[in-house]
Amino acid sequence: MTGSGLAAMLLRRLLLGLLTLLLVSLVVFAATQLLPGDVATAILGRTATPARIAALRAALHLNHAPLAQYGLWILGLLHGDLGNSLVTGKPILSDIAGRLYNSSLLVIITAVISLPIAVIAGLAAAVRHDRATDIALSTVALALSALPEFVIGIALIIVSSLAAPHVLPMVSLVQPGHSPLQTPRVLVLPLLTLTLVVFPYVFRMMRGSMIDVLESDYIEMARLKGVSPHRLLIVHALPSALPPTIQAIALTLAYLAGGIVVVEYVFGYAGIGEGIVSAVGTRDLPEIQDFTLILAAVYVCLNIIADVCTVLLTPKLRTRRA
Amino acid sequence: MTILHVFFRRQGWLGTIALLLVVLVLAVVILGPFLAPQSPTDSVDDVFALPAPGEWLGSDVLGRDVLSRVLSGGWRFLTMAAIATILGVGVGSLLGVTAALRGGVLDEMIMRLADVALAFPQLILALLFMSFAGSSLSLVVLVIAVVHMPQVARTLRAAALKVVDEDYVRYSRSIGLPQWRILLLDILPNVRTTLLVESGLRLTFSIALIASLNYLSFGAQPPSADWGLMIHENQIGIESNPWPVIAPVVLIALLSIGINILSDRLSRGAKPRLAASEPDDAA
Amino acid sequence: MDDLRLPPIADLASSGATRRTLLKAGGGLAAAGLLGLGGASAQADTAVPKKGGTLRVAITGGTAGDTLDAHNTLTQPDSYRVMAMYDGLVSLSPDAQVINKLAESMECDAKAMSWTIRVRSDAKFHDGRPVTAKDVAFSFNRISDPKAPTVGAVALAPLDLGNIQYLDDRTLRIPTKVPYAVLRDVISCPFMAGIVPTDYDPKKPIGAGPFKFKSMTPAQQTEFTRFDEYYDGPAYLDGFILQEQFTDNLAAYNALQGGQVDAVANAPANLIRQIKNSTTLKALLSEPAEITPFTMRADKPPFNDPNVRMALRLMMDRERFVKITLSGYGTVANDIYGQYDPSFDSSLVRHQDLDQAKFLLKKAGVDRLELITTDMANGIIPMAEIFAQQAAKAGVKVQVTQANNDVYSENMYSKVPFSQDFFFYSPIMGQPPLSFLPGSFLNETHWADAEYLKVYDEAKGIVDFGKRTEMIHRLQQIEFERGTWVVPSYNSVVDILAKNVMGLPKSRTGYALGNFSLTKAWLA
Repeated sequence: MTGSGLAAMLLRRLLLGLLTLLLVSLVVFAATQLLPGDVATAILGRTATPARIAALRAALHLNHAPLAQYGLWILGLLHGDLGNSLVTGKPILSDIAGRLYNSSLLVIITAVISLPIAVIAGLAAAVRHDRATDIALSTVALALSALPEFVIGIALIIVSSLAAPHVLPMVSLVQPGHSPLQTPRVLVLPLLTLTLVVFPYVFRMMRGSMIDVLESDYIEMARLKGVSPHRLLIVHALPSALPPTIQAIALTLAYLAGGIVVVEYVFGYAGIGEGIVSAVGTRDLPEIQDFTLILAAVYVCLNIIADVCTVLLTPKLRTRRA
Repeated sequence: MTILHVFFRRQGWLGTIALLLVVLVLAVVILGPFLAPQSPTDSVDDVFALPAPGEWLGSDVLGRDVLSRVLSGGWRFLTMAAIATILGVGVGSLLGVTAALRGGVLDEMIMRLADVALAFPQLILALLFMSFAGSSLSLVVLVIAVVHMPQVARTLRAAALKVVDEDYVRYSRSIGLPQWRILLLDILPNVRTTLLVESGLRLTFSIALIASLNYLSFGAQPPSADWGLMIHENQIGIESNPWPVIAPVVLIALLSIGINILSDRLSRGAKPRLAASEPDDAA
Repeated sequence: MDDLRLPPIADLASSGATRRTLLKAGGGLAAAGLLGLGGASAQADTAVPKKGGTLRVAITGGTAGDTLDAHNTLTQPDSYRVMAMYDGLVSLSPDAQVINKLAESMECDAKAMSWTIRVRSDAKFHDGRPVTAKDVAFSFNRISDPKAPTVGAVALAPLDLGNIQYLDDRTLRIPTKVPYAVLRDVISCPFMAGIVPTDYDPKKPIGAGPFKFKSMTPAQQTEFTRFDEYYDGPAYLDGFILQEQFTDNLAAYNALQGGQVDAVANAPANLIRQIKNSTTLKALLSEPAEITPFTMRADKPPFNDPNVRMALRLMMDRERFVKITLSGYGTVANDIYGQYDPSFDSSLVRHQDLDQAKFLLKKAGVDRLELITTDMANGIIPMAEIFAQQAAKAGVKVQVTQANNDVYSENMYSKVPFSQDFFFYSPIMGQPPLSFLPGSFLNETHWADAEYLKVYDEAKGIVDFGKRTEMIHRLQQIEFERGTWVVPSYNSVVDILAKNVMGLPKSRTGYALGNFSLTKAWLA
């Protein structure tokens, strides 16, 4: 495979991602056009004051043609002007920075904690394929993957409040302008929830690919040659099973971009997901548009990274593409 | 030999337990409204009273009988989940199979659209729609159905692609059968396992999404009895009477787990299932 | 129903009790003290107060429109901010009597045609300047500025502010346009008539209250520090923070448990049982004081028909309402207010009459109503739901629509036909200027009853207590017969405190934290 072939592939994937993002922004925008009648009145209700309707019309560029409205919105975004919240009247940018920080913190720590656990559990299950350990772990993963995020969160709240009352805060408040790291206690329950939420995905991916590898010819060959079981696992098998797992990691992070919405709400954690829920509650249109677009962008980017990792790490795919 | 025995033989103890769980929760959902000892919307006692004879799960934030609310709080949300699933899987699979059958521009268009929709986390897509259109139960159903369509379309397209080049399809084409007949008679029967498995999976997701929306209080509105909403309403009283939170949490959990294990069992033999969506659009 | 009324208050009212006996009753209340306290902490409460510390108070109901303006408040947090920073001439004591604050004396002449007000010599603003007669005049003028009138404008309307005489630096005489004997009552409400300096700038707010402003993020938090030169005894606390970032009571309560705040002001009554055995929390319970009326616009169908208003009052099962929405921490009310006012008419009692309610509603053709509300004060939403439950029994389907606080205060307050509101305790004559007179800022029901207005105008000029009480009884009679509020209960206000929060008195004004007595509070 040539370097230029790889670069071309990356470029292609990137362009495709950009195109997707463009379409996503169109969808987000088009949703506002679905509202029947006057958008401003629809959002604010019949009893809105004329002044507020006027302010909203200006904020959403409603006095322009739809295409121009879209253009102005995107142009503003590219200049870092996210507009003002309808509810607080403040620039969304100032609000979003702290939320993005809080959410990324949650997602990254979750990844750091949960991935090693899930990978090791996946390995263990693969090695003991179809035996008690595997069946137990797989069943747990299957069960966990069925549960809505908020059910896991609430269950943890109940368990912690019954088992050890008042040890862990049931709500994860972050003072405005402070980092959650200053009060690490508030992170415990949300992290635990998210860890349980993502565990099944990585676990299954790891288990599945490891089983494939362990059943492959060359591992069988190595085994026949008398390579020790540990060496077999770590030196021969693991490297081949890792690419799908790395892809799973990126996909997990992408998944978390959506999964944090409810979990942040359950714990009242001031991240971007909780921001979306409250913006939807107040019909704060500019905030909804910006927050959704940003989360979708993160999601798309992580998906691209997942794909690229897969291609880079899988020899077979690389040659096929070249 | 009972049906249960047959089932046990084919699906093992795990599948049987899952089946029993689903049947149990469905029994609560369907028979519940008739068995509720009190009106689910009337305040009959003090607030957050503890369980007592006659009020087996105590009372909730407005002094309503928790047992009656739990018994009455499942059918509406489960009906919504079922309709959303049928609608989503129905339209989604039709789109996917049509794309596979017709190919060309239509195929490309449908799949690119699916890509865009899949660029949103599902719940966020649902929230986006609801933020503009407001919350009403029929809208929630519609939104969830739409949210399912892209993934269903993708999966069914992949399954159908394996079938479209089979000899019997070619034959049907060669004798000039209309496409809807090919679709109905040749393709659908051959992708039915995929369809069944996908339906189970989507039902689990529908339940999770609708319960979540109700929990976020964007779906069911007070004073209606609904499991997700009950959890939201009574979270503040966990230390006084935890039952109005525990009971719906457990029921939602058992139902989701049961359905998920069942559809996993059914998919065995069909194909190994991967939980994360496969990035097949890169190919 | 009778056992739920307040016999001592009724007795006091009918016997025309003196202020002294009322104060005594208040002392008794204060001794009753805190609920959910073990013996040990009760001892600590009598211990010597400790100086220092910052009290963090969680409160819900804030909006992006949060204000620090002394005279323009709307939400609960607004009221408490204003009470912390500004003092008025008079105020309500914890036992709901009108007492002097910045005023050393405040009296009207025999015909109630002028008021002579003397300011305390030791009162200072936060920048150290003394409070003078000029500041009082400025504040009154600012409140009633015809170009930008504020909440208190209607209450001050009878004053002839153009002809103020200054007797000395801290004494002024304000003539009135018509006889006005109830000025003390109408400005006792602490959130609308604070005294501010002549160069007052709400952006850099200065008052003569016990706390100085430090910083504010609207709908998030406001910080205050102790004013060391406060004339009425500076606070023990170094300062306090009003925290409003909580989306609901649950979040606030959880924050209290997690040690992130020290108190939840105005918490749900159903939490009291929850903390009874708590080793870290206790409840401060007020006497029944706050009212949370259902408000019906008298100028909009179907509520322009007094029969519909009456039907909704008749259909209510008030005991049950108190039991459920307040967990029993409150008493039944009879659609009128001012229960601790010596002029209160306790003979007006509403009995539930479902048949009559059904009949009236049917006659008016009303079978559906929409109640648009917001979580503006604790318990409001459950109250709406119980109201709907009870209305259903009278054949009306009440749809409860809960709006966001911001959206509500901006777009819906005083506009929607059927809603809810909350009011702290006020002497009877103090409430109409807020709620029922032409131009009243909080007149969300747009009521303009000619007879009522005439009787009020007459009553406000009567100096003689006995004669005025007769007129006030007539006012209450009219409200009882055809008013625009359904007042089902007097609510006890519940604050949940960390056990180390000491010194807050028992009160019956409806203001959280023991009549918001933060100068008395200290942290053990």
